[in-house]
Amino acid sequence: MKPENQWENLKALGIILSLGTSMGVAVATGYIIGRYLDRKLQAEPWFTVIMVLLGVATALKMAYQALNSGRPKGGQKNSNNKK
Amino acid sequence: MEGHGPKEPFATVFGIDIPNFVITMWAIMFILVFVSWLGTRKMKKVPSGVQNVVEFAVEGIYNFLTGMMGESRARAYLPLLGSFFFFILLSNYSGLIPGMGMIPGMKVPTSDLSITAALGITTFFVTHISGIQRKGIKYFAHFLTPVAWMLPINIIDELVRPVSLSFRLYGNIFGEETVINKIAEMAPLIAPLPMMALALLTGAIQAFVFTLLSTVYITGATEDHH
Repeated sequence: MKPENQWENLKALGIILSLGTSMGVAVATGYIIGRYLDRKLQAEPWFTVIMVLLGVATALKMAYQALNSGRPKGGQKNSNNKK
Repeated sequence: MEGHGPKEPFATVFGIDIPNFVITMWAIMFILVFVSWLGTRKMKKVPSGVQNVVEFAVEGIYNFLTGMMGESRARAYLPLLGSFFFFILLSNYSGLIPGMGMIPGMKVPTSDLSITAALGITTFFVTHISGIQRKGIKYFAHFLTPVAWMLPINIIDELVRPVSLSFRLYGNIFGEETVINKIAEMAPLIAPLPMMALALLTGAIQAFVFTLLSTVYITGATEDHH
């Protein structure tokens, strides 16, 4: 294994290990901001709904980025996958 | 929050409570400073003794950072990220000292949210300040990538980072310390040993994950092209 691949793999491992908490916290952060805005602006339940949905979208974006972090850069394809 | 460890503050100085975990944190800080001082006191071309150990540890972190962010940025951020790693590692491992969480003045610092939140917030500010220093006002353009309507999602993404960093570290160490303490209360001496062996692994993994994610965030903010 080349040294640069080793660091890329380690980085991907760290991101995958942290993904669970990050996704949960994203939804929770959306909910907390939405609830705060709803109370402040008396617009229940709209901000909570919108912000939770944005939190879910953020969590999905994080999952997508985590899946991409393990792939080689520059659109190179893994030669093992060609067969 | 109800948990393990002494509940009363260790001392009150001028009306300010000094919690038990702060005492342990100061002890860990002292150990880190003292070992650094010992290792750099009489530096030799061919290292030996403490200098050898310190050089091995610093070089390990430096090689890791160089692989992740390149040589110039690795040099710039080594003091911060290296301190994060060794402080978190020693804090996590301090839970293995007999009497930790039972004797006044002894509580694992990373099992308290205020310490981990401070570390997470530091990473948050360093990330954005470094990004602005390197790219100027253009730094904020990355909030509009890949498309402009992703702005609210990108803002939530940035806000989530320090929260998830601090909650991940706190949750893991608090949970682990609580389990060890409860087992020790029920059956002291031998029974907590398997859990403590696991704590050796999770302590290192959590220190590594925190440092790695901080590195990834800072690298992302200071990268010239995506």
